Amino acid sequence: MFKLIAKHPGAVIGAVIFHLLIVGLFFLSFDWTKKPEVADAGIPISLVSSDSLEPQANNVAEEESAKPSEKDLLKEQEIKETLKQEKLSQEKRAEEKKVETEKLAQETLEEENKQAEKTRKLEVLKLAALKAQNLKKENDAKVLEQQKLVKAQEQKQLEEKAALAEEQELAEKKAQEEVNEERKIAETKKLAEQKRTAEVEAKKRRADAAALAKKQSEEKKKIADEKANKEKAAEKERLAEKVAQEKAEKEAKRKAEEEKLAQEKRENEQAERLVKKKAKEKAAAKIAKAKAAKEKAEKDTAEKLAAKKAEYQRKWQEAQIKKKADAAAADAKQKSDAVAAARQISLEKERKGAQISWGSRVQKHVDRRWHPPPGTKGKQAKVKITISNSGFIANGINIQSCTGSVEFCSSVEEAFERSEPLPRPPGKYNFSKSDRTITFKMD
Amino acid sequence: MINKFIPKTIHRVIVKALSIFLLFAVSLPSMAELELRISKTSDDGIPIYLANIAGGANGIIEADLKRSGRFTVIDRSKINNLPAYGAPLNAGAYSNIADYIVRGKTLNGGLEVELTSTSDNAKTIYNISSNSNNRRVAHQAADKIYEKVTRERGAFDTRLAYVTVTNKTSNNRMFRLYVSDSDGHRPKAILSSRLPVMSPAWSPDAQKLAYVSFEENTSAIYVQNIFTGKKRKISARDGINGAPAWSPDGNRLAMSLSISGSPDIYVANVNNGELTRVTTSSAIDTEPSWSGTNSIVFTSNRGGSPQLYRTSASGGSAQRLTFDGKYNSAADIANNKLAYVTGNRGAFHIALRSVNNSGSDRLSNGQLDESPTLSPNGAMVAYTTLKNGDNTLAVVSDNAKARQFLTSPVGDVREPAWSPYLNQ
Repeated sequence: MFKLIAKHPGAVIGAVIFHLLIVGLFFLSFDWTKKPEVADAGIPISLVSSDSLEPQANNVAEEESAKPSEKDLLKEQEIKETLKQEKLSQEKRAEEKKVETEKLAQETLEEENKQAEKTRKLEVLKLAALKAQNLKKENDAKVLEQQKLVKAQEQKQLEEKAALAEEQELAEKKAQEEVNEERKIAETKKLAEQKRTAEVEAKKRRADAAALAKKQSEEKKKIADEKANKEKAAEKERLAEKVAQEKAEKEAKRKAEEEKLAQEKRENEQAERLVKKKAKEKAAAKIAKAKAAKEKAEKDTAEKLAAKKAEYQRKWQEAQIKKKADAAAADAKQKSDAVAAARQISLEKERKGAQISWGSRVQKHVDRRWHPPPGTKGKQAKVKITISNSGFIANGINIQSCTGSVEFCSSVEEAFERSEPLPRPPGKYNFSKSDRTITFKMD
Repeated sequence: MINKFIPKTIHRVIVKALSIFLLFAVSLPSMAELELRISKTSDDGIPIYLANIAGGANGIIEADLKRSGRFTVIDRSKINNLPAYGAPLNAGAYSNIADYIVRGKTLNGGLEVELTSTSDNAKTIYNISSNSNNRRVAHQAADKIYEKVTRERGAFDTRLAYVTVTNKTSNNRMFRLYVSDSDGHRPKAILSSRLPVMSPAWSPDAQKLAYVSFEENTSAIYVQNIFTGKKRKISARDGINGAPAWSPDGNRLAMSLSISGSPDIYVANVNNGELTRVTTSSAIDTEPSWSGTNSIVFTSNRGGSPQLYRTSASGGSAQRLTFDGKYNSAADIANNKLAYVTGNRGAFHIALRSVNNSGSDRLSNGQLDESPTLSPNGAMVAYTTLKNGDNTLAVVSDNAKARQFLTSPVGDVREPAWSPYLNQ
């Protein structure tokens, strides 16, 4: 409670000012006119109590017995009428004044109420704004602890609300009490006025009765009294009715005011609730939004993380696959290289074999066509030729050395000449020029 | 195991390096050139396949080619279902069997012969016109084939002249001078005599034969046309008239005459009988043979044993040609080759040498081989050899790879003479 008060000093000050205003209005509402003397008033005043009603009746009897004369009565009537007129005018003035005072008081009260309400509304709005600000700040500051804080805030709000409600209630209660007090005062004042009126009337009646007793006969006095009584009663009734009407009107007005206040209060409450609700909804929406944002952020983060993880996993898997593929490719290359090397070796062997086989055929081919001159035993020649793919000697017959006679050397050359076309190199192996070059040792 | 201690990368590098090294190591020999040896002693001839030809010409051609020593005739069973002549032939399919395939047919009494190389499927067709001697048609075909393959002129369509002696130990002995085809077939005696006939020599036109005949009880040199039989005495001087040899121009005859006592070499003009003495030694100079138009190779024992000498046809000093052994005689020259008889330790063989070079090759392996005569292309040598007590004709190739005994008439065959190329 004190915390709340300490927390909202403006409200406290407002409440104090409000009370001071009410007290001031209360004092202002008093009728500070001088209390009239009985003689001056013409109507004796005595406070009527339930116990004093009977003796009053006795006084009436006494008054009946002292009934004035008709002249007196007429005179008295005239006086009465004049007094009555004066009284009525006085009453009317008083009433008007009172009405004005009440109106003023009411207006003041209304103004104060309005001011207070405005202040309260402002306070509420301020509070709401502050709360919203606090909430916003808190929300902005601590998104992750929003829920807890919101709960705490809500708790605080509830407490504040409760305090405010209590305060409001107290204020209302006080206002109500003040109103009631005022009403009571008004009623008391009214009753006093009525009493005074009644006393004045009784005094008048007694004066009338004394005058009538003096001036008129007892009957006339009685008739006059009766008439006066009747009129008085009628007047009283009329006044009562008027008072009642006024009271009813006041009551209705008050009720209307109250209703209005209540309505306003409800509306305010409604507005407050609405504001609170809106704030709450806003806060909730904000929280929800924040939550959603957070969830979204978390989701995004999670998704990003998952995506990153998946990407990393994918990359890792790709790297693994690549690594494996590279290793497999390297192995395959190694194997294929080995196979290729083996194949190359085999091919080269085959190629070499083919070359040797082809060379052997060339050798026989030339040998069969070489007709060395007789008697050349021990004579040697070395001949180098390159055989084209079509089996012809490409770059001439190169006799590198020849130890024999001209005939012998010629026979060597002739041997190659007549050997054309030589067996063609096997096209399958695409022999190089050097592969197709053969040196013959002829002896 | 190695992989445990060597990192995989290094292992791969080593394997790669080894592979490359092996590749190079294997590749390097292939870059080396081939070195081959060709020996003169090889027995291989050019493999040739001859399809059947109607009339059996293929048999004659086969024998001719075999005799040359240049060919190895493939057995006919080696190739089955060879397309008949005229049908397309994929000769390359038989390149592993033969270098050449011969197909042919008789055509208008002659022959049409196709020679196909299995290496390049090249085909050559020869048309041989008819001849009264059908065998000559085949020989001519053989000459064509021979020449196509060896790039030397063939000498199958030539003749042999030789002397046979029948009943040589009795009083009825008969000497006959025969002329036959080069393979010995179709022998025809152009001269018969109870007195010795010897030393036939072909005139360069291959129409005449000079020979020595004792038909007049003394030796005389005659020249006889082989177709007409007309003969003319060239020399019948006192003493020995022997060993006539036609000069390449056919205008002269070299001969051995013993006018001065010992046989010397003389050259007689066939047309006017003019005689020119070539040698003047006191030794026996005989068996002249023309080496070109101006040179004569003869046998002389002027060195103590029969040896071959060469001298100018117009006379002059003689140059000894043979030094191996104690007996070298009976030279015959053709195509710059000189065939002669060489004796060693009682055996006589046929040897061949170049006219201008000293080295020689022994061609025959008989005990008593005599009278070598060269084919005009110098590729074959016909000679007499002792067989079953009688001399018979044999032909050996100049490389001694082929040797054939020729069929000959009954009797002792002596002194064959190979004719020059025939012009008709």
